Amino acid sequence: MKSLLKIFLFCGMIFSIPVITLLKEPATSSYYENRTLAVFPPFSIQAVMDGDYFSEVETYINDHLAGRNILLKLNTQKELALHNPVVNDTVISGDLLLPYHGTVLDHYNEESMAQELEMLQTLNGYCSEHDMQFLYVAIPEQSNAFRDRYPNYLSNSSYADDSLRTDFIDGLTALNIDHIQMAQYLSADYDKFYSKTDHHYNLYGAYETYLRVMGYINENYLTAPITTDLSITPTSTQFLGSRNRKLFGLFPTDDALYTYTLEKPVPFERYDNGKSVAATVFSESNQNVYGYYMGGDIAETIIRTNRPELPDVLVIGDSFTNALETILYTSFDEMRSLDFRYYTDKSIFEYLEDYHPDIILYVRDDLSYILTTGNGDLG
Amino acid sequence: MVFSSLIFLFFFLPAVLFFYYIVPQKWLAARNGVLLIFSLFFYFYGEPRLILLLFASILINYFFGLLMRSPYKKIWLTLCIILNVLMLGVYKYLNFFITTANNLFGVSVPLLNIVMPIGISFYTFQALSYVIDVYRRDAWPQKNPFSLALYISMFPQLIAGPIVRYRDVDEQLSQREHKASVFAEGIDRFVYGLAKKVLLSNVFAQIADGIFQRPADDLTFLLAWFGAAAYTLQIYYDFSGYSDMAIGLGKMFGFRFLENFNYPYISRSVTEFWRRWHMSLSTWFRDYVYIPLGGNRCSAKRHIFNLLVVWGLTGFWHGANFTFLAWGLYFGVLLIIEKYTLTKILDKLPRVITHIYALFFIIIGWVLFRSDSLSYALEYLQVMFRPSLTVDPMIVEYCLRFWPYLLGGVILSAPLYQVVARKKNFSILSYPLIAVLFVLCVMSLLTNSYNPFIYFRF
Repeated sequence: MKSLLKIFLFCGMIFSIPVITLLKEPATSSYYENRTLAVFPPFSIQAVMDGDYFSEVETYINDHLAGRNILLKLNTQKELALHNPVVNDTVISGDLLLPYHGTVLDHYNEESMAQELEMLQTLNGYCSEHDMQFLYVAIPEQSNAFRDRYPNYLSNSSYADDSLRTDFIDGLTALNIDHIQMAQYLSADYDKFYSKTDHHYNLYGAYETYLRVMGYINENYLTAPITTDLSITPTSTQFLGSRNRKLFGLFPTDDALYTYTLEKPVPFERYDNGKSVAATVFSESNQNVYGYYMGGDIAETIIRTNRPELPDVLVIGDSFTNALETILYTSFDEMRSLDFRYYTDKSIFEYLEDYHPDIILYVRDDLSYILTTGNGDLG
Repeated sequence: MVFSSLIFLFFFLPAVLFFYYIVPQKWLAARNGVLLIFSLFFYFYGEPRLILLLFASILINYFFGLLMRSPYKKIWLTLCIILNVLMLGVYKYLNFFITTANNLFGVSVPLLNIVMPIGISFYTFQALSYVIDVYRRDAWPQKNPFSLALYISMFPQLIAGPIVRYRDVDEQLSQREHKASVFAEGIDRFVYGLAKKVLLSNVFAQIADGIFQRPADDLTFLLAWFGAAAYTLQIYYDFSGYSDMAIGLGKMFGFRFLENFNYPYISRSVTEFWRRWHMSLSTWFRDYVYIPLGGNRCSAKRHIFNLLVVWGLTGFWHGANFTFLAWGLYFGVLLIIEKYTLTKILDKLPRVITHIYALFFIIIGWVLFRSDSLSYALEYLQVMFRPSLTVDPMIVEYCLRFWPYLLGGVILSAPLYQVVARKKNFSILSYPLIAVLFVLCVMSLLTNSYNPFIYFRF
């Protein structure tokens, strides 16, 4: 009888899970892992014989197994309860969540750096020829900002030394490409400017970046108003930073998501990917995540404030641009934003043939300096 | 397909159990047919193209098995052994020999585009076991090719053992009982094996790989020992876990396979270690190589020669690399020393000393086994013999991250579980224990894509 009970329980589990897996509607993406899930592979004899088919089926099963999220969450809970300092590739250092680097690389890819600098040189030259100003804005990623907060037994960088950052900035200087190193300013108070549980800066960091960029523009290029009448306050919802999201939001934190109000709001119209959308820079449906700013990553956004006396700006970059843009538009007649991870219609040069902003801001975090894909490949 | 994968646990296993058990018990041949079809699919899943080689092995050995009652059986046996060894040699060792010849003689013979089929060492040895057992009249020739095909390709032990001798399973192929109690034992055994592999071995693999991938001159004394100890635990939980799963699966289908491990790390000598480690391989070499060579019933010189041949082959069986050969010979030499001088001394020493002695040499052996090249192994060993108290940050990291697993791994390598399992009320506790272990394994499998089986490459 005892044996039958054991058989019943075991078989009940191994039989019911596949049935539920096959019956349930497959999800397309995993919110907590922030990635798309595998789709069932098309059958072909060739794929079967090459071994690809079964391997893709296995990936599909791993991604869609019934109860997957519950079990992953339980596993995270277990590791947190065991006080594991690294859970789901996230380092837990006091109240900070940082990425785990694992094996450290001795050298960065010099070819990628050369390629990236060459592209920037071409773009900078193009801008000079066409009476546009090009400014590279270098922002420390959160893990770099808090690199001295890693436990001393863990590597605090993907590389053995800081030569990637210093060589890249030296490269920009050598090529006479205007740039601002935000580390110089944000390092004054990283705790104030950065999120504890997200890989971005917070709104204070974005605002500091805005102030420094506008200061540079006014000093070196042209006159544009600088918004200072804003008050920053935390939003009412519990913030789910990207790193805490990897931990299913199970890491207890007082980290907040911030918003601001302007004393004198600047009215505007907004277009996302060519379509008119609500005139707001905060997404109420994303109130607990960084996607709150500008509604997350969008291929092309245009904000028109209809003040033709002011200059136009084009911002290029990854999600670090989002928080910055929520304030930046207030200083310009038109602000456009391109994210080349999603924007595929034209290369930057084709885009600039049709559109002539006064200033181009190329915003990169220091983990992306030599990435040659997405916003590292402007065409 | 590996046992410790979600597709095996939740798709393959329920499917094979369902189709196997909807066939009435009295139609054992049909049940064997189900098992054979699923076993071949199991192999096809991992080696779609090289399954033909498995078919070839089955057919060759089937026909040679039938010839083992002819007057020329010795010739047929020799031919059969040559064919099997040739097949293994070409697919596993040819490129190694070419590389060695290129290095030795400064020639540049191009390497062949050969991929080693999964489990070829295991199924070739099983096939040889069949032919030799029939030759020796320890078993009858198998007239039913499907039964022989099932013996050679049965999925529980097809790709990583244990190596089941034909004489041990011959009867079970045609006559075996299916009892609920045995099936339930099989579940326990399978889940324990799965837990050994997924919860322990995979963690130790992260530690060992992290350390062994560093250049030897970048290691410190303590880190080198930590890495070697981690690999010592990894290979035990990996392989014994796989064997437990195979034995457990066998029980689910009514088969009783012989044990393959018996707490090898509690050994008090190297000789004892080899009586407890990968017993099916040791038994195979004993029965089919060592004893035919004359075993120990010969002169001391010949005995030493026999041991060196057997251990050289044992090492080389594990892989086409000088590291494996060195590992095998290293144990051969240790066994000879123990046999002729040390055993009497060891018997008089306190248990704790003999345990340390055995573990020391076992761990050193695993460094040879784990290293990618002999030169790396020697450099690594040099670091292990240059004492210093420098604590590498990696040790702190791994200890803080994996301490529960390290602790569990060390404790469970001793037969404490057996002691607990004998307690009166343990059977009640075993239900939640099995359930918790199974859920923990699935959780871990979902989290980790890092899931290599060491013995698959043999």
